[in-house]
Amino acid sequence: MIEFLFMAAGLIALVRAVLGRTFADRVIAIGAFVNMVVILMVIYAVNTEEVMIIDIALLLILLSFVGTLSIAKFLTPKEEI
Amino acid sequence: MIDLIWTALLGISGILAVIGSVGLVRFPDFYTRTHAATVIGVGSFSLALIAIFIGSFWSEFSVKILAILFINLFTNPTATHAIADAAYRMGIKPEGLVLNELEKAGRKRK
Repeated sequence: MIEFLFMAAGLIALVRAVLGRTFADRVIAIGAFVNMVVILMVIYAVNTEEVMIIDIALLLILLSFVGTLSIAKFLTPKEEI
Repeated sequence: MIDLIWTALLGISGILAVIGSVGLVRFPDFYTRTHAATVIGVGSFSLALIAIFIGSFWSEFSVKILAILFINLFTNPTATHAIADAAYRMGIKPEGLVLNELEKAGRKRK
């Protein structure tokens, strides 16, 4: 029952990813959405006793971090790095 | 007793997630939205993983859940700081800006 709260939070965060006025808003909103997806994947893995899903969750959170850092470096103007 | 504890923690985490995402939609500005995103990324995420860790106490998931928890505790504030710094250098202004201390300190905006 509580999982629906996480699903609703992820969908509301995606609204900001669609509407977002600047590029950085979309990055932040997609980061929040990935966090919700990781929580749902961990709950699913514990409920159905599948160990593989939780490895995918670990990989997903690391990929989210690397992706956000590379987008942040891409957004910075060239002469200020 | 244990069931009550982890259900309460997971419920608080879900409520924090909804509060943070509503803040992500309704805040006026990028720099205030990072606050709402941090409520989701640190508060709700850590509480949910602690609740699942207590609920399935010693199984094959426990060490991996702790790994995800600590990795997220280190990486999520770092990512938010990096994207906020890049947004400042890119030239996104805070709304209703009165005094810019960073510009006085020599950090120039494009």
